[in-house]
Amino acid sequence: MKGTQLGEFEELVLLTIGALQEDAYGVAIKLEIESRAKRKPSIGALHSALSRLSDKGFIHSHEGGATKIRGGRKKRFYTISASGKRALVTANELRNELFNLIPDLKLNASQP
Amino acid sequence: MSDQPPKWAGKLLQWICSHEQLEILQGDLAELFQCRLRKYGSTRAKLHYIKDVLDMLRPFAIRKRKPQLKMNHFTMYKNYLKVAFRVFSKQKLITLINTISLTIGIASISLIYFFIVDEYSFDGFHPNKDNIYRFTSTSVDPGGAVIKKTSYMPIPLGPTVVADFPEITNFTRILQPRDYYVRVGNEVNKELVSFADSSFFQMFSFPLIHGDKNQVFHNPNSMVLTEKMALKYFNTTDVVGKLVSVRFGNKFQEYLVSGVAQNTPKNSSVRFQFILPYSSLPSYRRYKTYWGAGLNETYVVVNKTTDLPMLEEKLEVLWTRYMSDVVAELKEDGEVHPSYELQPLSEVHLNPNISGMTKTSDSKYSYILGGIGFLIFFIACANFMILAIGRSAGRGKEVGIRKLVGARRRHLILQFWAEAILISMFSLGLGVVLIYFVLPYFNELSNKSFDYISLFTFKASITLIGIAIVGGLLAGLYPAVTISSLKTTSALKKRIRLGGVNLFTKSLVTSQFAVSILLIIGTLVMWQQVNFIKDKDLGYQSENVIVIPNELQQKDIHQFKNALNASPHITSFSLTSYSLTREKIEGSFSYEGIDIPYYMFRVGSDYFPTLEIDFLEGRDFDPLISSDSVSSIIVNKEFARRLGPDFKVGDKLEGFRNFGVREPSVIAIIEDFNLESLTESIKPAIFTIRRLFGFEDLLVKISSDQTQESLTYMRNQWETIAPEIPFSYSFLNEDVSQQYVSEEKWTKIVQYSSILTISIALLGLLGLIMLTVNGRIKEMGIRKVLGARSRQLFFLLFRQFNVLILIATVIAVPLAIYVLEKWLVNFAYRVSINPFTLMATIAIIFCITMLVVGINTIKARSTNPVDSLRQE
Repeated sequence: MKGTQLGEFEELVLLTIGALQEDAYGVAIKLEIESRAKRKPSIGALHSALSRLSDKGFIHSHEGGATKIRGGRKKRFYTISASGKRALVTANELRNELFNLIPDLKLNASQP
Repeated sequence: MSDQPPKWAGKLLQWICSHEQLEILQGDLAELFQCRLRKYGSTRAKLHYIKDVLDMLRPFAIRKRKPQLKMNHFTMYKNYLKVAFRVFSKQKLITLINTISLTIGIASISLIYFFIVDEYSFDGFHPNKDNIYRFTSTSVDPGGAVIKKTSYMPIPLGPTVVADFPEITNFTRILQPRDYYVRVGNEVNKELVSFADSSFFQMFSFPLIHGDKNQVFHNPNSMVLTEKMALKYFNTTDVVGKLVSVRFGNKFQEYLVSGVAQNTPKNSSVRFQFILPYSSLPSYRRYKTYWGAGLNETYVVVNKTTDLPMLEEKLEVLWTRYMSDVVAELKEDGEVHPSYELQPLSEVHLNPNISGMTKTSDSKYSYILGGIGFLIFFIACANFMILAIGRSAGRGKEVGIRKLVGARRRHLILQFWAEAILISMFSLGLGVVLIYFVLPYFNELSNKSFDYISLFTFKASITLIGIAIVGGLLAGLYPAVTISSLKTTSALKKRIRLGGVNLFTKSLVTSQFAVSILLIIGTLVMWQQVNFIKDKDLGYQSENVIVIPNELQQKDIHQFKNALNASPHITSFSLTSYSLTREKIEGSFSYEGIDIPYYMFRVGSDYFPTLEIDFLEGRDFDPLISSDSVSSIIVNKEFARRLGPDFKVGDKLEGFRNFGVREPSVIAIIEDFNLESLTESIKPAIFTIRRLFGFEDLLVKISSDQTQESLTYMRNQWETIAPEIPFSYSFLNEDVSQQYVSEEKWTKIVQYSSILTISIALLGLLGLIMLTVNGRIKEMGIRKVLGARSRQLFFLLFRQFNVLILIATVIAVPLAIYVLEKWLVNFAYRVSINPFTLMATIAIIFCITMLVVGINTIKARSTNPVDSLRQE
């Protein structure tokens, strides 16, 4: 079994899945990340991350919703699992905790 | 059309991805493609698509490939082998034909591989080879056309360039090895002796067995000799400190052996037996600063970082610095001085256009031999293909059943290839044995001295195995692909007739015929040409003329002559600057504004009677007329023709000056005779008896029936007159035919390869006809029952080859004429390509084919129709 650490890109994907709610499938996740995070993950890299998240049990998936534009092929939708949510919360808490330990971060944050 | 992702990329995606992922990924990629199509247009969308497909090479997506047939692979291989051996033993004759032809093919291409590798390995053994260059110079006429390239350099060049150019760090000069008499104890022999600078053994890597490479030439009276020479004269290689004498002029000079070198490798351009320090060259002091003539080769070491073209340009300075008088003189005539180049050591061997002292070779030979080897190899492979297609008829069922029980196509391909490679491997074994037997002949033809055992280095062995595998793959390609492509049902029902002759087989047979015709015509024409030049009347008698290199003193020549005159067997005696087949003195004479290039021969009296050359006008030189020896010359008809009709015997040649002959009067015109080999036409020539320089050769005409006695007599006389000089001689007519050794060699090469090709092709033909007969055995049976004669059966079989031979003729004859014309251009005297030769060739091919068909007809006739019709 792989470790249950959450990588940076994995976290981003997981958050995006959460944000997209019912409509989270490959292309939609990719476009959402592109528009919000200003980075262009390749579809291969995205699916690779999705498959890792799935292996770690952070997401569930189900198939459906074939459209013409996809040549009649099904989509695979993802939702966050309970352990996925826990992992997100843990990661967020850890970050906040550490964030607060840095004394003058707020002062310098506005200056590059 | 254009708004679809590329199909192949889609297929690639299918091939890459696992089934679980495939549909989703296909969908995502298709959707993205549509998005991008709208946004960026078709091209970029496609490119993105391809990139995304390639991006799927990730562990999560890649299909796990199971090794499907792992469990029974070896059993299967065993089965292939078993079936292969069964097939071989069922069709023994066909297998034999295949093996023999592939054996010959592999042996020929291997030998030629050895040849080519050796040609290109020249001088590769010097670790320093990339920094060593040879000086060459190129003369151009004012128009810029190259007149002459040479590597003979002035003696002071070497030390001067090292002093003047910091890029050049070292040099060695090498003087053309010449025959000198070498004496050890009481043994005197002619040996090749060369001279070189002390840096010779530092620059080149000719390892010394004894002696220190930095010290060997410290003493001007030291010498290095090779292991071979040491063993020849001393029976041991440890000869440092021993004395060896070399004869210069007429006295022997002693040298102290300071080093013994390993024999020079066969693939070395620089070769030597005895090597002396340059400073001990007798005329060294005189020529040390003489820039006027190229006398030796100069090798230099150039710094690695040097920009070579720049350095070559800088070398120009040498002309103005050291040869300003030459430059001025040339300028007066409107000519330019030659340029200097630096030729990398690795290019020395395969550059025959530079006149120099190393034995070069033309890379053309490698190409021609390579081409011939490839032809033979191709014909051998073609045999295999033709026969494999022919006999595959019987294997349709096997293929059908194999397919039925689950063989994939690649298994079948593998099987057929394996069979071919099995045969080619076996042929390789036989080929290696064959090479052992033909190697002596090959060595003789190729001028190499390959040693059987040392041929098979690790690299060469790997290459040979590679050749065999390639041969097998090539030979098995067509059968493997076609037979395996049969549909299971039709293969089982035998609906498809694979046997016999199809278009592919026909084109293979045609090309075999074409190659055979090409080589037969080549053999015949080359043979005619060689015979023509050997039998041609040269305009003089070379029979019974003996050429003796003149080593005698002036007074001894007279004594020798008188002694010979006393013998009844010796008809006449003369002297000449050089015998006809040896060197020539060239000159050029400007007459009424026209340049006449000519050869000059200094001869003794009786020269023309000795060679039986006819006089057209005038008289022979007369020793009693004193002016003859100074100012009389005889010219040949060609020279007279160039002078024009106004010139008469007795006239003076105004302005003529050469070798001490000044404005001579012409006392006779002689009939033209061939001064050189017949590759050249007859040039103007003049003859003088002016005795300013020595004569290099003696000519003795003897009576035809007493050859041995005359030779013994001459030897005895020579030994009484000059006991310390060995007597050596040659026959002029042998010298003359010696000039055509290389032509004869090439004729032989073409002859042998055509014999090989034809025999392989014939074997193939034999097998093919046999298979055709087998395939049509029922037809033949019915025809016989209905009353066909064997003559009719014969034509039935032969008919199919008529057209093929005709097509082959149409292809091969023009090609042969083209190639042979190119070769014949080299000869000033040549045969024309006779239509009769061409027809004879075609007739030969027809006859041989008919013979082979005939043999098979007899077999077909003798089988009982009942037997052939009964079998089902």
